[in-house]
Amino acid sequence: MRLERELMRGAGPLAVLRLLEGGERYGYELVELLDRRTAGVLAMGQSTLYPLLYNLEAKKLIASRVTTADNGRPRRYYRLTQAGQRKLAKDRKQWEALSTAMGQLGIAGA
Amino acid sequence: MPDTLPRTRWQAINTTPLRELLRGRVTAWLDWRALLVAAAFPAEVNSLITNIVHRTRLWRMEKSAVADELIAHFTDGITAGTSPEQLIHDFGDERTAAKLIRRAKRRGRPLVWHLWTWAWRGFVIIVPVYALSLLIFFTARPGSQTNFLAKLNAPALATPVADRAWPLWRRALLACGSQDAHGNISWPAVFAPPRGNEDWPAVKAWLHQQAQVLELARQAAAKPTMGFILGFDSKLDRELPDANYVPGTIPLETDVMLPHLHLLQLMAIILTDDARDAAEAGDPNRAKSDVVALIRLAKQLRGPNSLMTSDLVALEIDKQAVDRLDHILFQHPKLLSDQSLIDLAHLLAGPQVASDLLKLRGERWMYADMVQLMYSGNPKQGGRITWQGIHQISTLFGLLSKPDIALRNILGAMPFIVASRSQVMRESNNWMNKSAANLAVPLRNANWKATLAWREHFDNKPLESIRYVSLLPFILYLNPAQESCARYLGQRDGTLVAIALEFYHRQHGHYPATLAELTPQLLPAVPADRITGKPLHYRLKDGKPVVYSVGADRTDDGGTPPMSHGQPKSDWAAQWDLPAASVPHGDWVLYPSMTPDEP
Repeated sequence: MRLERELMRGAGPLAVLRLLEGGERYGYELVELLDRRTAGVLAMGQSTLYPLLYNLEAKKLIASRVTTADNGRPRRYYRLTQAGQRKLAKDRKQWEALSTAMGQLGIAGA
Repeated sequence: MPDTLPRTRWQAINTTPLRELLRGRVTAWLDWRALLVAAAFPAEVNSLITNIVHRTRLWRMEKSAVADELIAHFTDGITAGTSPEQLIHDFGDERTAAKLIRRAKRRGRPLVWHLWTWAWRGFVIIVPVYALSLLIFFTARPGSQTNFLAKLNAPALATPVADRAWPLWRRALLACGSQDAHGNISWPAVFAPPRGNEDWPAVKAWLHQQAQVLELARQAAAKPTMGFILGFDSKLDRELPDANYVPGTIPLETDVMLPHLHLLQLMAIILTDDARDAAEAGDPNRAKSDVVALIRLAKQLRGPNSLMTSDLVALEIDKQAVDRLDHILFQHPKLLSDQSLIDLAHLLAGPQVASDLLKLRGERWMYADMVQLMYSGNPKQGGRITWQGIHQISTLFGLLSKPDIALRNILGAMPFIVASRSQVMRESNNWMNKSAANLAVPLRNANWKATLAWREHFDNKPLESIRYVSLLPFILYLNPAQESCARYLGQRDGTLVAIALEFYHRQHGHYPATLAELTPQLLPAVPADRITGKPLHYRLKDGKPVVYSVGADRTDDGGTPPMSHGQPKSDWAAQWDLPAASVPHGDWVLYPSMTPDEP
């Protein structure tokens, strides 16, 4: 199941920040993780992911660096900044509160 | 380092970062096409990446970074075993991708770039709007025009020539003065200020030679209307308005001439002096005729469409008449007959409040004329300030002098900043209506603080001051004029009471104990003190009546006025709304007149 665009707009950035919490990742890796770990629910086209990454970088929530990959090609890695960590913690709480509220309404699982 | 693509020297330079060029190195690091070729993708992938990078329309370095990222992405995908077709399918729409990538990359640009972008956008929007505004401003022309000069002159023109007083006044003035080549009548030498009692013999001698002049003056005063035709020069024998006048081309406010006022003030002095001479000579008919002529002259000046200047001159002439009558009553109490006293009382009794003495219609028209000269459109809707209007204001008040360069530079925005014609007329009428409401009540009941607060509102708001730049300089402050009217009416009340006291004395051989004894036969009611609203006060001093108001300090000082260097200053006590610390001590004596009896 794919999320509607409006829901994705809120969930997508948080999902990316959460994946980067575990360490540096590159673009294709993030695409794969989003698809695999969420059973495709948060799978997003790369036409959406890269602009999202650039937006998060413009907001200083993530930072990037270019290194040489194993195949000898340059590869850009993304990591969470301190501002990104604070944002992740704040959004996490909001999502937990939302999930609880929805559960009480019988919409989401408790 | 990018490689494998044959490139020209110019292509290499064009794809080298500036900092590398400045170091003398041509590295072609930004040549993302070379990277793409080196990646050896299938044609569809190449095409996708190329299209996306092109469509972003980003800076060279940004395009290079995006191309790097996309090449890395597809390389990782193919390395992971995903087919190029699947990767292309999963990527999504290339137009959407390019748009979103462009938006995101621009968001990450430096603050200076964002500031410059917004400044440029502002410039691109503001400049055409300003240019359009300038065009509107400089091409607008004053709108529909009403001939207010014709309206002002209408009563005079409607009066048959034989009933107009001015031609007779003019003959009288010409008979006692001299006229130069420009038509200006000169002041007779005996009336050259300053004058004192030492000049009285010379004045009397001159008056005795002017019987014809004085008779002409009395005949003129008997006419129903002044009949002076207003124009733009000092011509005194004008019988019709200027036929070449085009409404909205000449401001009536500043250019209409009133040369007759100064001359009629001279005639008033002549009549006043003759009344004194008549009283001293024991000639009651001449004395009464002169005072009546003064009162009627003031009424003629105060016509239905009179201007404020004319009303104020009329007020001064009224005051001269009352002063002279006071002196006659005090010094020669038995001179005037009972009928003369009754006639004079009836002539003086009319006005009760300032609005009976000051007509604002002429002033409203003067301002409406100024507005039609400054604004486009018609009086009922909209209308914008024109260049002629700003120029007019500047000419009158120097608003476009060098220190006001800021104002000069925003001229183009004038149509959108300065209030419209209908707004300005509405606020002007608002002010005049509030002022008229105050003039229609006794001064002690007028609320000028609230009225003036309307004006002060603009002082506290600079933008509003600019919006109403075409109104504020023309605002008439009428509270001082109302005070002048109140002082005259107070003295007039004292004179009416003095006439009633004289009647009582003639009937009973003594003065009454209180003013209440004069009512209702000799006075309809005891006039109110114009400061407190309570009945006027009265006492006898040296056997002669003194009628007075308690004055600004509101304490009864027994009819003793404030003194300065041994001289009575009764008018000092005629004040309203003074701070407690500034209130002079003493009464405002209404009768007898405190004005020195000298020419």
